[in-house]
Amino acid sequence: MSAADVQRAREAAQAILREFGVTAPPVPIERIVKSRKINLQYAPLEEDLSGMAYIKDGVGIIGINALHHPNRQRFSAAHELAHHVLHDEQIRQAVHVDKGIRVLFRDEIASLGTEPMEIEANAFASELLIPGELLAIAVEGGGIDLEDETGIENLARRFRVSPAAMRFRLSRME
Amino acid sequence: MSFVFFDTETTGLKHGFDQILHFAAVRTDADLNEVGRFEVRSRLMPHVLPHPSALLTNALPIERLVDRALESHYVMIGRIRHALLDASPAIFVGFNSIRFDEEMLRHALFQNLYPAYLTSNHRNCRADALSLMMAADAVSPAQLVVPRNADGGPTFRLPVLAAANGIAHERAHDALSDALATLDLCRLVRARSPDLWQRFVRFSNKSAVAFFVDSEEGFVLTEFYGAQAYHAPVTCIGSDPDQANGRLCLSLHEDIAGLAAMTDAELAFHLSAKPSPMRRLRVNAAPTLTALYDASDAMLDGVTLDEIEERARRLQNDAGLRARLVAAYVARREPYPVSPHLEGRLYNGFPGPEDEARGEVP
Repeated sequence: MSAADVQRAREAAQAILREFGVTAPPVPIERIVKSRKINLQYAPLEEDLSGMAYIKDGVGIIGINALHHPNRQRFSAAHELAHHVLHDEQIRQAVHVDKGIRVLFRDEIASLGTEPMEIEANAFASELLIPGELLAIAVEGGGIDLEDETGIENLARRFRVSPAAMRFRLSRME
Repeated sequence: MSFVFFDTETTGLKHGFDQILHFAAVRTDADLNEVGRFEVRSRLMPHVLPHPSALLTNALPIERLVDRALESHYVMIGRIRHALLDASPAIFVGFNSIRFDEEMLRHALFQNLYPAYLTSNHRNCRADALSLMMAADAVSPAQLVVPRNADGGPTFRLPVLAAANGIAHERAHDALSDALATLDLCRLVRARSPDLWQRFVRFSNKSAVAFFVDSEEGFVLTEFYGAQAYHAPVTCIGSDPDQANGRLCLSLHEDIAGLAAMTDAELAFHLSAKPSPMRRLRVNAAPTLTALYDASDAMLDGVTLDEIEERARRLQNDAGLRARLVAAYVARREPYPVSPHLEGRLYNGFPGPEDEARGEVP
């Protein structure tokens, strides 16, 4: 298994942001997904299942847990979009192997980011929903203290992500 | 995790004063395959007088209602609560359920000293299949056969709608039969109008509705009056100060500059027109919403998308005007009198934490 290429994942997200002309948060993830002709589907899934990515009859599909909070749904949508953008070959192969629709699940292992594909998808989603340039503007170049709960929550609210996702992004800010 | 399709048969239509006689729920997986069902009946409570029309509709003879072999109302509500908690979290769906069945259930739980908001709490979501059917007819009419009544208008009564669409519905107004017919109609819309079904599922989640209306500059709100759908491009101008789940939205057919030039009194008069350009939605009542970029031309009613987005932006950038609009609209409201009857006070407050904990006892 090859190592995760985080840089490639971030660059792919940045290319989409440029293509879409995003200049301010929140990033319109639903519009971005739809613009790529990928179907975004909502369904009541098991609690630990955030989303799934698969290709059926040649059509890309992203499944999102309808019972989750919208911030979590946005991250899941971005994460699953990463699989379509970065791992098209794998999810096509997996469809054949699994003869069906359930291919890539965002489960607890994925959240931990231990699989190269999941590490890349998390990096892509993080860059897409919290673009480095927009984050730098938001913190006015001064950085932010990772212990500052209120500051992180305010930032998370502006970008429509969870505080956990914002903390993840800030911890990797260059 | 699943959907729960449910229905109630009752002694009448008055929340808090009529009672549930028959409750049924059908649980499905995410693909609407049935995975279980639950059904329970109760006998009539001594102080409840069933409405004759309800007995005719439900085809329940009075002898059946007073049969001592049936569960008491208290036992039935306890069993319903247990079954629904067991299915949670789930998306609860009925036919006209937001206005009726959900209210009957909340009041029944309240009167039996259980926490009333079972289908809203426990990470549950709720939606109404009647709104879905009306939306399907309005958005993609070829996908659903909607019968006409004697006046030529559309009718969305469950038995006739099911029959017109080839759905077996042998015992109309039997709770289980109605729940199954509702499920079948949902399967039909899911198969024929997948985009509409996706919006229906997504906006069953109160947080998803709040997020959408608060973050989109504008969107189309579809409301139903007298079995007719009315679409309006709107923008959310603020929360309802009298209700945490309420949002006030302004029609984007309005001339924003004209509104800005009005005095407060003129604004109040303008908003009192019928229909009012101010629309109110509840984020926890599964409203029918469409993103502007998904809206058909018919939904925008002759105004271009660019014009609508420009009006929405203008209003979103004018916090002063939004505050004046909310104030002018709210000032027209009459005070809501507290019911002299305990049965009518479900919405007059929440129990304290100690009482809430007592109610949560199995």
